[in-house]
This record gives sequence, C-alpha cells and structure tokens, in this order.
Amino acid sequence: MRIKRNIILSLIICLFCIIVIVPNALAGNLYASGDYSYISYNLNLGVKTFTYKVGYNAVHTVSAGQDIVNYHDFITYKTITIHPPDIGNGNASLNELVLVNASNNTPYDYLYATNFSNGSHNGWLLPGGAYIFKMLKSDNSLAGPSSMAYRVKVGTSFVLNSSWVPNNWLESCHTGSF
Amino acid sequence: MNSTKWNKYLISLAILTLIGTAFFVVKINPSFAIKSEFDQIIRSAAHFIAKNPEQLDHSVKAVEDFYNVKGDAIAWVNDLPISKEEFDFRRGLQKISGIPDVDQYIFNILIEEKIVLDYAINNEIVPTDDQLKKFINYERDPNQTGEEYQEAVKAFCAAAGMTEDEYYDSYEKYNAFRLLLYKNAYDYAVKEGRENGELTLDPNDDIILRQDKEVQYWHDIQKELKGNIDIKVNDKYKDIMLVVDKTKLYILSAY
Repeated sequence: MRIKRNIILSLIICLFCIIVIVPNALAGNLYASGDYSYISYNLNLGVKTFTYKVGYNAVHTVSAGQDIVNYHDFITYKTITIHPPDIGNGNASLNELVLVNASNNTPYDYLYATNFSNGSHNGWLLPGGAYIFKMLKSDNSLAGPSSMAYRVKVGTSFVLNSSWVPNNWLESCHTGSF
Repeated sequence: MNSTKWNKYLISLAILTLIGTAFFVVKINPSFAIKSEFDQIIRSAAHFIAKNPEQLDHSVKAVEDFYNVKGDAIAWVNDLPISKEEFDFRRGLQKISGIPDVDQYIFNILIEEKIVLDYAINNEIVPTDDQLKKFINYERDPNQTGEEYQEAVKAFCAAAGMTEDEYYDSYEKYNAFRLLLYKNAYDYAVKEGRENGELTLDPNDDIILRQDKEVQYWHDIQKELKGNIDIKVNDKYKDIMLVVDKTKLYILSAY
C-alpha cells in the first residue's frame, strides 16, 4: 500500500515537472540590436555625424498555448563620444515594442515606453566611455496564441535639438522569429 | 474650343499633376522631404559663405589668435574680443533659420562661447593643433563618418565655391575648434568637480542619473560664469542694443 502511494506521489511529481518545467525548458532569450548613423546640419556647428546603438533582450516562454515575451531590457547608447554630452547628442528613445507575425509583420501585441521603468534585469556590457541615452526594463508581457511564429519589433527614435536639420529619425530592428 | 483655352487647361493640368506628384512623393517617402530640407539649408549656408569670405576669414582668425581679432570688436568678454566680422558671420548664417531677435540670440551665443574659451585659457585646456588635426582627420575618414557625410561636405564645398581642403582649413576648423573647446571644458569641469568634491556621484545611483548630474553640473558652472561676466560693449555699436541675458544659456538650444 505504501509502495503504491509512493508510486502515485512520484507520478504526481513527474506530471508537475512536465507541466511546469517543460514549458520553461522551451523558454529562450530573444535579442535584437541596431546600429544607426545620421548626418545633420547646424547653423552654428556645420555638418556633423551622429550615431547610436540599440540593444534589446527578453525572455520567451510558451505557456498554456500562449507565446509570452517578458523581462524586457532595452538600451540606447553611443560609443563614439567626439562631442561633449550636452552638444548635439540628442536623445535616442524607445517608441514601441511590437509582437508581430513573423511571416507578414502583422502586429499582434504592443508595449510602449510608458510600460517601462529605468534600469535593467541583467545589466549590459558596454564599451568604456559609452554614453547611455536610455536604459529601460519592463515586466509587462507581450503575448499571442502559439499557433503562429512571431518576432519582436523594437521601434526607436533619435531626436536632436530643433537647431539641427534634419532632427528626427525613426528606426526599427527585430529579434529572430520564435 | 480655341487654342488659348486649351493652353489654360493644359497648364492647369500640369500644375495639378506636379502638386499631386510632390505630395505623393513626400507622403510616401518622408526621407525625400528630410533630404530636401537638409540639401536646402546647406546650400543656403554655403551660398552665404561664398558671398562673405572675409567674414569667415575673420571668424577663423578669432579661434586661431583669440586676443587679436582683425578689425573692430563689438564687445569684450573678460578681455576676449568678439569681432564685428564674427558676429556678422554667425548672424548672417543664423538668419537662414528665420528665428526672431537674431542679434540678441547670436550675441548671447558668442558671449557664452567666449566665456568657455576664457575658462579654457585659464585652465590651459584650449584645443591644441594636434587635437584639431585628429578631429578633422576623423571627419575626413569615410570609414569613420561614412559616405553620406563625405557627399554632404562635397555638396557644401561645391555650393560655397571652395575645395575640400579649404573647407576643412577654414569653415570646419572654426566649427571643430568650438566643439573641441566645449568637450575639453566639459571633461575638465567634471573631473575637477569630482576631485574637489563639488560634484558628488553616488555609485549606487542609476548611470543615467549620474550622467545627468555631470551635465547639470557643467551647465551650472556656465551659468555662474555668465552671471559674473565682465563685459564691455564697444560704444560704436551701442545702437544695436546688445543685451546680455543672464537668465539662461542660449547655447543649450543652439547646439
């Protein structure tokens, strides 16, 4: 009787492991990065170049028939600091994170900058002297039914003072599909 | 229908087609409008420079030998002269933007630049020839600044009627000097502030907060320097009614 009870207990534990651990075993890290460069003109400083980089990572899990992306970390920074930080550095920001259908880019779920707070879950390894525009994190989820393949589109913008022409650019980069 | 009427119809149709096409191009491809805006402003600036080469020469001289400007000075900032030609050069360029009160705007920007130059002279951090050369070489290298930048410089030179060597030895030298001046002054101020304890940065603070504190510290120094400025305006140019506005830093919106 005792052996039978132990077997049942073991089966329950195994079942629990299958339900809880297997989906987590399917969990993976998602990455996206972007590297952008612009030129602009300022009547006080002439033609200048501006560059910034984007980094994004998050955790992807499958649970209860849903693809879930959360624990988002986002960063925008520049590595070449030939200008002092208060001159022409502008600001590179997060506009939106979009869960899109991997085959046709149809948007499925969104997160915006307001869903993020300052900081990061895992930290970032940056080159020395990097100037950080934004370092954000979010525990909000992007989610969609597991019946299709997705990727995450990371929409960013770079804005300079209005004394620069042009002074506003939009960009996006994507994670791989999952 | 007579031919005059036909002509009117055809002209109207052509104009409508042109407007429609322009709208379509800008609407469908915003980068076309951005590129056009950029091309237009560098063309306007280059034409102004082509028409006023002596103003550019005086401005370059003002960063090469800052105590000895050519011609009249409109004012002196802690003994550093602001030459009339440099004022006219910057004012002429700025007029392209169409901002109001351009005289006051440029006067205050030049004052702030001379204040930082004075700060750099006092602390022996004026950009060196070697630093300028490295900066210009960086800009001239397509691997660093990209083809688009090189093309923009070529377009500027073509419109200004100058060679690329002339561009980098004059107009860009003037711009690069002031950028480096601000970089040196910023780096020095922050380093000094940290060493003398005036700028305290908590390592536990968010890195962006620390960066912002550094920038704010540098702005506070500039505001303080502008507040304590010793300025003399040349009587000859008192009719321009130049006023030092100590309530703000104009450079923050200009750069």
